[in-house]
Amino acid sequence: MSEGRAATRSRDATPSVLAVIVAHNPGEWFEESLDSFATQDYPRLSVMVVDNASDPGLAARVSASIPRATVLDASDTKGFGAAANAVLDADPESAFLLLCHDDVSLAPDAVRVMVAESLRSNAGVLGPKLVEFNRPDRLQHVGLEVDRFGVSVDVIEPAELDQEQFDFVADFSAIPTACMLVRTDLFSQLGGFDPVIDFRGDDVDFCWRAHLAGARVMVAPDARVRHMEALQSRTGVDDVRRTRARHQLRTVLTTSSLPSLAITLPLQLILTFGEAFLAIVTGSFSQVVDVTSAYTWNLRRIREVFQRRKSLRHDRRLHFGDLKQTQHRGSARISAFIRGQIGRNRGGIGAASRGFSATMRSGTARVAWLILLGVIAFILFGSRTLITDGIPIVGDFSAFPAHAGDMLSRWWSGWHDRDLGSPGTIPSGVAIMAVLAWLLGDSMGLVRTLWVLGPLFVGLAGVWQMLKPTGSRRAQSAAILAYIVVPLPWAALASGSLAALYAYAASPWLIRGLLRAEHIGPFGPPGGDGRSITGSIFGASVVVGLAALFEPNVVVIVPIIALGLILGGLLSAHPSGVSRVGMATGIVAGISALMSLPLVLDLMFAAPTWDILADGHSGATTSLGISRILRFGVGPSDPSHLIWLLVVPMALPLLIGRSWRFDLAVKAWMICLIGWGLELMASTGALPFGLPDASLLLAAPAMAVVLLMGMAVASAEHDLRTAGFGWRQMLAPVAVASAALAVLSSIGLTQTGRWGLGSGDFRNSIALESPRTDGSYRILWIGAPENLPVSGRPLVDRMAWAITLDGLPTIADRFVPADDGAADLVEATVSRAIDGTTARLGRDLGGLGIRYVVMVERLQPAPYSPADTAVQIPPSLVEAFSGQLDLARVEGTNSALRVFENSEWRSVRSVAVPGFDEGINSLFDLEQTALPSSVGVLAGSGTSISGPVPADTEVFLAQTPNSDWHLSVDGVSARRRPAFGWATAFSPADGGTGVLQYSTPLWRRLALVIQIMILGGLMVVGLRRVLRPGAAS
Amino acid sequence: MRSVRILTIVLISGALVLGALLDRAGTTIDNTSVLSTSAVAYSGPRGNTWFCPGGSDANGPARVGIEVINAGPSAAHLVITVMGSLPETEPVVDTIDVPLGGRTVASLESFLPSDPWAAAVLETTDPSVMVRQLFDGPDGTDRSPCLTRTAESWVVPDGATRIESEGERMMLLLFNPFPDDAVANIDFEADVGLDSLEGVVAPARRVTVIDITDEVTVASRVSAMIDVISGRLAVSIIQTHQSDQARGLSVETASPGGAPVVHLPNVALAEGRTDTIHITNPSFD
Repeated sequence: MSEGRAATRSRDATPSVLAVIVAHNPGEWFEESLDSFATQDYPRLSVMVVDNASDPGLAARVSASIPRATVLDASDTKGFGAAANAVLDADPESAFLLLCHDDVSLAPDAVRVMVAESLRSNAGVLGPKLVEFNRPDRLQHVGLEVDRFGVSVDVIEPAELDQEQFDFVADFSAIPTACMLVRTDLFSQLGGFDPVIDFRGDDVDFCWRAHLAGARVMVAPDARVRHMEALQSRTGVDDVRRTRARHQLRTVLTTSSLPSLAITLPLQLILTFGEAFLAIVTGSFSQVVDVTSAYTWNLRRIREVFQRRKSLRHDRRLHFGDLKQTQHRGSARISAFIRGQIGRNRGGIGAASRGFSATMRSGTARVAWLILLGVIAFILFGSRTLITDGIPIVGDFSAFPAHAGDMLSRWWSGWHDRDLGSPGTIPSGVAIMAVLAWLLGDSMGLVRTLWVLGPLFVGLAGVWQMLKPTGSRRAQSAAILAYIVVPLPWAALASGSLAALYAYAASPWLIRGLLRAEHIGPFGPPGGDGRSITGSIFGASVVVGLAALFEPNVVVIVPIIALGLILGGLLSAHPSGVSRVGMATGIVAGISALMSLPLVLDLMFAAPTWDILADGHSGATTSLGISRILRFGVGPSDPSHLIWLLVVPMALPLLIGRSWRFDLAVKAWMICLIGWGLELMASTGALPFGLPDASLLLAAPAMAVVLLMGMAVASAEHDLRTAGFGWRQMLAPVAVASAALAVLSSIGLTQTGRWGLGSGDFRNSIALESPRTDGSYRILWIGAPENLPVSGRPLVDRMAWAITLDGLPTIADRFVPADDGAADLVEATVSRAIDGTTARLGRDLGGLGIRYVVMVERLQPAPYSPADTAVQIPPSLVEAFSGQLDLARVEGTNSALRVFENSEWRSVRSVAVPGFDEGINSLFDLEQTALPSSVGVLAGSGTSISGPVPADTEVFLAQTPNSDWHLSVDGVSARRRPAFGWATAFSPADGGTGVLQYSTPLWRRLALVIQIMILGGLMVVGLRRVLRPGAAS
Repeated sequence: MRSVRILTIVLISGALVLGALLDRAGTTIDNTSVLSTSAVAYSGPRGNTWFCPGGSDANGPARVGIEVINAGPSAAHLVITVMGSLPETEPVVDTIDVPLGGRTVASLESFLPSDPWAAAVLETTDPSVMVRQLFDGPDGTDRSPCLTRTAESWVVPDGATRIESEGERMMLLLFNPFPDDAVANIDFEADVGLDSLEGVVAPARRVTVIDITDEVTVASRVSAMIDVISGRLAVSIIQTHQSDQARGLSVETASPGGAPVVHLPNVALAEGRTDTIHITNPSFD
């Protein structure tokens, strides 16, 4: 009897504990979990199960295991925290609340141990040692470290075995909500969990508030609890990163003091920016959205944040500075990354999350990231002088107008000023850059730098993604390194070839897309319907289309890569995906064409010549031999012969690869052979027509070499292990050594910080009159296509020509228009000089408004471009122009140029006496009859030019005749008539203020608008695909 | 698999070898040939511009006139631009019409009466005309064809400057018909030694006369190499001979460089007559 009374007194002396189990559709483990509560040796334990919108039958399951347990309906709540808070409405009388998930199983003495420790240590919140449900010898959580940004990390290593190394009671920043013993009064005082935080972050938020309320948060490791961690399987996996980021920021905003926030928030922004940048580089666009949306989400709830801060002030017993003592110093995320801890592959969570932290799974992943960062640093270091001093105006690196509005208006106008003028659309990449510059406050220089160097990073991201399906970080690393070892991008920079840079950037995306469409190896499951082809190739199509918006000639890579993949498939005796590649290529072409709709319409309506694609090349031979072709030596200097060493790793997958490694290697080799072969034929003059620049043709083979490097590593990983010892094992280290030596060849390129591109350009080398002085004029440029400041048309003897208006050209003048306009007149005129038919070329050129003839022999003026890089103007051309009686050689110009000034020049827009062209029926009649005197008017470029027009004159317009050009003087429209057999003259009724204006055809404006809508739609579709569950991988 | 691998390797290797062979086959960079090495007329639609280095006025050693011969099926129309030697002389532009099968002579002095020297450019679209210069001076008469092109280098194979003993005087006419100045270096090779004139400026649209007698004195044989380092010129030489034993006037256009084969249309061997062939090597070898 006395024993019973003693037992009763003892029982009454122990504080009561109410176990609150929040259940949401628990699995088959639930009964085991309930049994663990039923078998606790703690005398005053009652159980309440909170039904958080579970399916019917939960109550029956509970009563079957714990008949005296109560079930509380909290179906109207979402998340663990809100459901647990429902217990407050039940006004519990127990001294402690044991808040638990529905997937925990307690050791029989767990509650007793926790209560005892809580009383002994005066802990407000106390947790057990959590171990894995099915592997109780493995630790799961023993307290959490939390940094000032609200990021929590475990103190244990992933899958660490329990060897009692953490068996000591300790204070922590936070403990998981899986099982936590909380003083009821404290829980009530704090108002429970933050109901807005449904999942992830509720533990940190609660524990921090508990700290601020003066309570201790501790772990009693003698209490063991097994935890299933089945949350992921029930809540979905795609919002892990997103919800975590939001809730962490909310916790920081609600609990930090104002002085602390002043420091923490800017630091948080910096970290977010860094994470977003890395995500962009690695192509994880969904991650960018997740980390940045945390700010917008919290901004929408800012009123709540203020209210919670206010209520917390009442409960605060601890200064925030004291709380900082319990926090992890610095960034827990970065520290854990360095420790290799973040991103544990714990089934659902690890497999689901693609976050910045989730990818850091292993040492090879860290090495891959470090290599990626190293390559980025290499590119930035090698480009340092280009970034700081600006990129010179050479080759394709055209000047930008002074203001973004000028670029935009040129694009919108639908008129090309270059050559003799013609209607046509400038590629819309110009408009995109104009908008970007405007957003950045007219920062034309910055946008120009991004325009040139940006593709390097896009290509880098593409290479990373291209090798990602192989699942081999080493292969990715090798490809990333190969990206900078292959000389093509640096040669393209040194030779001012923008098209090659964009082609090199777009190639990995295209290769990846086509391989996914083909469903080869790790790039997709076999088979598949048409819809999956579109899905596989959509991203690649958009990338190619985007690149084509800036450099239309980039489309050259599509047939080279597609043909390479098809031939490779046939050669490797795996033709099953060939038809899919063909279909995917069609889709790429279609989407790219849609994205460049106005340009495509121009091509359809004009009678385009091959000049548009050939970039001034005529099929004449060049000096690029096969040695330089194979080594991608398209720049001014010959690449190192160490590049030859790449042949060994390139051959490795052919020699030892099996399965998809061998298939991909064969395809990559086919791409190489096709690109090399085309350039060899072009350089030896084997083709009767010109092909685009060598650097552009070789972009796809260069990327194929990068792919081969990855395949070499993949082959070594997969196929060496299964092969018996022999020559194959000897080959692998040889390949590694060869590749390592080849890497050395690229280091020297970073010496100047500008990849061998000279720092000067022709701005200060050609003294040109201002058009304001005597009127607008044209410049006839003649030189090798690669040396011209704009894309040219073929002339003779490997020379090309182009005409620009009023000084040095800008980006709007770069592209050969689809509509030739009166361009053939220029070629006919120059031919007359070459043939010796005329010694009065100046009069003909004057009739075309050409004031200067500039023969360019080098890419840059001396001494920035070495003399041995010069492509001499053929003596026949020099003699033809030198022998003209009305072309004066301008002395004192740079040795890279010959400049002639036309003594018979007339302004592009001039006034003369009425009937000035009487008796002159064609341009060449001017050779016999001197041009009548005239005065330049309406100087300037663009499609709306105004200025005074004298009375009793006619206005001569030396440009391709087009009925959409109108002249009005003081509002009165002037009559139009042909002049000189090819141009236009206007006869105003009287003098006054004249306005010469081009009325862009409505269909052209409509095409631009539709293009904008298409691009916008594609952007929305793309973002949706990225954010769609499961689409990210 | 093995057979596919071998086939693939063989094909790829073969393609690379083929490419190397194609490359070794040689690539020649073809350029349009230079228009002409000859500076005198040739048949065809080309050469419708004539450069006549000219001569002096009536007070000078070789009064010059332009003779235009029309061998074509219709009347020819030419535009003549006459340029002088003085800075203040502006070029004069006029027209010359030559009837079918006809001949017209125009004195350059009549266009520029106040200039002691005159040269001319004649332009026509008619390829059937021939233009040459007629000279008449106190020491004799001569004829010489006009040039159909200018050049950057000229060779004058022979001249003499024994003014005191033989009355030989040699003058070089540098005609620059272009709107920009030309600059030339002139190297002389004579039996008395070598000499040179560096940086001779031939102003735009002017004829410049250089009396070589003043430069290379007492030479029985002088050849001159004119290297136009800037611009282009048309060049001729006036050689006079005035002594008690003989008098003569010879006006020759210079040659725009050497040639591997030279045809001499008339070399006579007759009593009392001696023809001397002067061979000049303008190269550095």
